[in-house]
Amino acid sequence: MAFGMTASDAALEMPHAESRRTGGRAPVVILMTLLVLGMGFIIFYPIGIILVRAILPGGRFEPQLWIDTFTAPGLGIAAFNTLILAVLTTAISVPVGVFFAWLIERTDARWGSLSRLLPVIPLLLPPVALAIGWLFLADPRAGFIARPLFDALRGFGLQIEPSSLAIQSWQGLVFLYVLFSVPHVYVVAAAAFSGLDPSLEEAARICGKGRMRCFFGVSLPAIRHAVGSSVLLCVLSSIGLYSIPALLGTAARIDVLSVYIYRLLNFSYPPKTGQAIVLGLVLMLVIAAIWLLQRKIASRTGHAQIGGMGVRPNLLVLGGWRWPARIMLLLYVALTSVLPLIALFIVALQPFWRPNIVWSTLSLDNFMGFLEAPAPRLAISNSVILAIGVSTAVVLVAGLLAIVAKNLGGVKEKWFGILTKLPSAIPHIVFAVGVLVAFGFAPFYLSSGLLIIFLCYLVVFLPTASIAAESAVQQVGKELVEASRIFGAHPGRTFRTVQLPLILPGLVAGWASIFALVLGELNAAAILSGPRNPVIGYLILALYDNGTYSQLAAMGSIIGVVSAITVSAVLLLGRPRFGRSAPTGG
Amino acid sequence: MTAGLAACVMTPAIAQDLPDAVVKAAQKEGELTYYSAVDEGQTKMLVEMFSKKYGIKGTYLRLVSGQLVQRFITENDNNSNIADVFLDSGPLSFRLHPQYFVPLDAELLPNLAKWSKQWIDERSVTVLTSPMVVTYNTDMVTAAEVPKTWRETADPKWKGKILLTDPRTSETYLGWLAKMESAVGADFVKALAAQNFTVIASGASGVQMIAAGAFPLNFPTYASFGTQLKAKQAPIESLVMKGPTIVSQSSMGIPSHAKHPNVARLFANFLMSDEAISAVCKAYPASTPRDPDGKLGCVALTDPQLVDYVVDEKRKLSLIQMIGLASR
Repeated sequence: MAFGMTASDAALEMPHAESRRTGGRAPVVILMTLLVLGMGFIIFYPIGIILVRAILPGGRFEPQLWIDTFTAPGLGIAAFNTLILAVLTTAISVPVGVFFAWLIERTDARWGSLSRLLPVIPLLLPPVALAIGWLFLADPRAGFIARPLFDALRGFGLQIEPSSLAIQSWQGLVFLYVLFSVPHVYVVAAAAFSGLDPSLEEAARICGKGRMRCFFGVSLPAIRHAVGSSVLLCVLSSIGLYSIPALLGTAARIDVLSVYIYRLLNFSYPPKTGQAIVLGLVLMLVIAAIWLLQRKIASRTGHAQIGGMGVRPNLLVLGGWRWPARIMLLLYVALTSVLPLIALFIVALQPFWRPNIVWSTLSLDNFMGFLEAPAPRLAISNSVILAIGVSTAVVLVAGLLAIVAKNLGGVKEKWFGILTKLPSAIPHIVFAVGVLVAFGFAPFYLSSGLLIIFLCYLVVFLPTASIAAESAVQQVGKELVEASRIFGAHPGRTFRTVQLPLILPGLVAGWASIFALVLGELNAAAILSGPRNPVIGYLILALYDNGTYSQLAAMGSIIGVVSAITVSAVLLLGRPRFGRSAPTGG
Repeated sequence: MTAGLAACVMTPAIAQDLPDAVVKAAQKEGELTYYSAVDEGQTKMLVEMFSKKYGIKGTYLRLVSGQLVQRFITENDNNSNIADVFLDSGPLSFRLHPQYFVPLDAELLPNLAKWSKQWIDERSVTVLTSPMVVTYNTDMVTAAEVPKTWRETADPKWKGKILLTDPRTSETYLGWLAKMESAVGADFVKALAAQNFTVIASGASGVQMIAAGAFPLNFPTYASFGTQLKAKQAPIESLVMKGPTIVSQSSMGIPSHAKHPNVARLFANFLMSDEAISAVCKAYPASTPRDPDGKLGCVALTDPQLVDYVVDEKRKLSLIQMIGLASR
């Protein structure tokens, strides 16, 4: 397997003479080779199975499948709508997320460690809960905010058609896509800013550059890789997001690729798995091209790295802009996170969703229903275990792969980068079928345990982890690693004591994103979870099909609380330990 | 399959229990795994009733039809069947994969003798039928105002007030649209398209919007989606539509490689028993070939017609265009 060769090559190129003498090289070579081989097997065995089954039925190539796929009515418009959404989402989310990260990590706009968590709050809800929370608020006919607003406007004699300002519209979709994407951008950018050597910024300030010129001229170019990674993350999430367009896009009659593919698999009988895989292959090529483009742009000019000198980031003093910046952050959080969370919580207390709150009918029944019944309790605890395990494993794997790739350099690095992004092009449900066939039955027999879901998520979330890890690894300069080697440390020790602590904030950021994503994952759960291994996704699907929005809101609130506690703790513990930051003049 | 249910019942009450030996063998096997694509509450209730009656532990997997079938077929393609009894919200899975189901007869399932032949395929039987309804908000519409026939929904007075369950999201809803075209006429479908309706992805979501007062009417849908909400005093009601009355079917089969074959027989026969049917019809607004007149408490139906389950791709596209839902 090509992967095995490249891993060995990587290890061969890594150590210097000193480390060879220590005898520490061999275990590292073996470990890295095993890691790469193992991941290659987990990724490509299921993909191979689904490719062969769907694209080569009976062992023959079927051109009709490709013709049917690309001539299907509705595909063109779904692809076009997805492109528009991806471009708009990226164009808005990346500047907003990066700017917030800069404000919080590099200026005195932040107050206390908790402010680091503010932009991450929308990340704590699974997309389905986020979409429903906004439906509760902004449905023009029954939303907590929109309905009184329309009534008031009518009171002033303004006859506005409710659907003209609905959340079920292009602007509503873009708004929610941005809401979903900004935290992902923020965590990657914040990790990059937090690890940035401040000497360049300080030099710029000494030379008399203003705050904004310092941001655009120095800070932003210095985290070029993180910005590029954020673009990629936004594009990937815009293509893959299902719950929001399914709930709100359908009503607005805006079709997107994810919903189109979901319909191929779930609402056609027999499922058109072959067409879904053909589209997945095309998406793989698109994603690979975007990744290469991003790398090319990011590496065209140099970017700042964590160097060998001690870093003690000083915060830029915003002066009179400090409070406007803080108010902007708070407003963002209030508009995008607090309001939908409150809506979700209110509906969770209601017996059913209705726009007028009847206080006497509010109760904790929907929460107690979950907490008292054994099946939901088991699903919640399984999902938490799974989310912790998957997040930890996948960021470690992604981190190690990113280091191996960086050491390999050149074409091999590019292949590593592309291969770790490929799973993002395959719909979760299709990959889950591949995993079920690959590992569910003989000789593995994993079909009714948590391990099979773990393996599936390990691959499904590898692209997200990999983007975060690459960004973090690219930030680490070579001089520290070389110094460690010169002093005789073997590669394993260099990784443990030098590289890992430096890339940790980036990995922690990836961990937080993936933890929340695992808790709310639905489509793979539908195939791999069941009565013996229930997870929250399985529960959400059941509620979505048979329950009430109030029960769904209660489940969303529970996930929000679990995510909030875990992600906050991890992000706070994982922040860089450079000592206290001191404000400096600017 | 469009004939009425009124003359369906073949045989009067006869002993329909399985022999004691089968019951004992089933109890020895000790475990049931039930795959179901119908309502979660209904699925859970029947498994619990069965467990209580026979002392056999029961678990179930409840998913929407597409996901359930995909999972069942993947498991069976790999010789790893898990389900003992399989219930789908349509007959296609049994017809397309007959090799995975055993042939059914009255010797295997004595209660089959009570069923009209028109509801029995070689390897599956329709145990329940669900009539398509209009669900409405009682604060916004009175019972007298609600459309009683499908054609009345095309009245211009409902323009902008209809929440239509997206026919692209399910073979059953698409089958309703196909039946509308063939039974009521293409002119009706075109008139409906001109109603400036809003689309909702599923009946389960549609009923929540009706309860919240976002729209007065939602169709096509099933009354069972509103059962929980009505119990919580939500202002909703459902009306079985006429002209014609359209039903979808829930079909059951026994997998050829059921892990617990005696449990499978016992549970499948139990699902067709008067005891189980009465319990379902008491809790949910269901109908069944076993009880066309409503004597067991089920919804009585006159001349129900099945949705068109088999719609080719060309007609599908034509219907979607006709109703105004082709992508744009």
